[in-house]
Amino acid sequence: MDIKRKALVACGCGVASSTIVAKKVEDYCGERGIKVEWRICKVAEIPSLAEMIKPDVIVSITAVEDLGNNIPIFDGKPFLTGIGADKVLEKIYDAIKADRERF
Amino acid sequence: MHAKIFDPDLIFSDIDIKDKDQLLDFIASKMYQLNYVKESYIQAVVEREKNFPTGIQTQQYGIAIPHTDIIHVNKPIVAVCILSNPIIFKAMGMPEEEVPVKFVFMLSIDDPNNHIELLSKLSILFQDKNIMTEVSVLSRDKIFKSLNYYMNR
Repeated sequence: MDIKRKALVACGCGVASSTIVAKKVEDYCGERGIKVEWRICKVAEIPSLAEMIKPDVIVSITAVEDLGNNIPIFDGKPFLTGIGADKVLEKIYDAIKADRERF
Repeated sequence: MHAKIFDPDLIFSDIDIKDKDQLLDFIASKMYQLNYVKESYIQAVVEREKNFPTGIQTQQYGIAIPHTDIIHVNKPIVAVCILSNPIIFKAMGMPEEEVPVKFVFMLSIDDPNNHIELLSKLSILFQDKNIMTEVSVLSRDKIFKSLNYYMNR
């Protein structure tokens, strides 16, 4: 695996739900040749951590406003309900894989 | 060898509680009595559920995974409560939506990095309607055995 990407994953507590989401993203992308390093956080920490670690994608359980920094944001809820998780995974993978200008 | 995930004394079914806060208080207090969490966990988990609800509507069942900050935790454990009459929780990430919850998994997690597999497996488990249906009709000791089996396979 020579491609490495970063994901910032947020939930209310930055403990359980975000870990569940992060692991699924890591596994899905890992199986497709992209190593994803992830960091979990509380929703309130997203802006400062996004600035600091410059993730390729943000996945959040609660709705977050676009940060205006070109980082795509995805809904993490399907990973908890199990409903529609595959579709989100595909989208996250596409976004994570894409070559684009990163800030 | 597997780390301890559940405790037979923290498996509940047939309990007569209809109110969400009372239910959270009840489970959290048992976790405190067994020294898995600090006393502060009890109020913290109730408050956390108000601000960041954890109801999850899976394909078949309503699930909740109440938990709170790691500072309130002594040792990791998953307490389980199966409700014959579901209790309404708010939905995780969508507080305007309600979820009738039948299965409560109250988590005490001290370091999420040490419990990635546990959390991951737990999510696969509670999303599996066949397993959850099977578990829902078992007695307490069999719930414990069955959940352990599915988490460790």
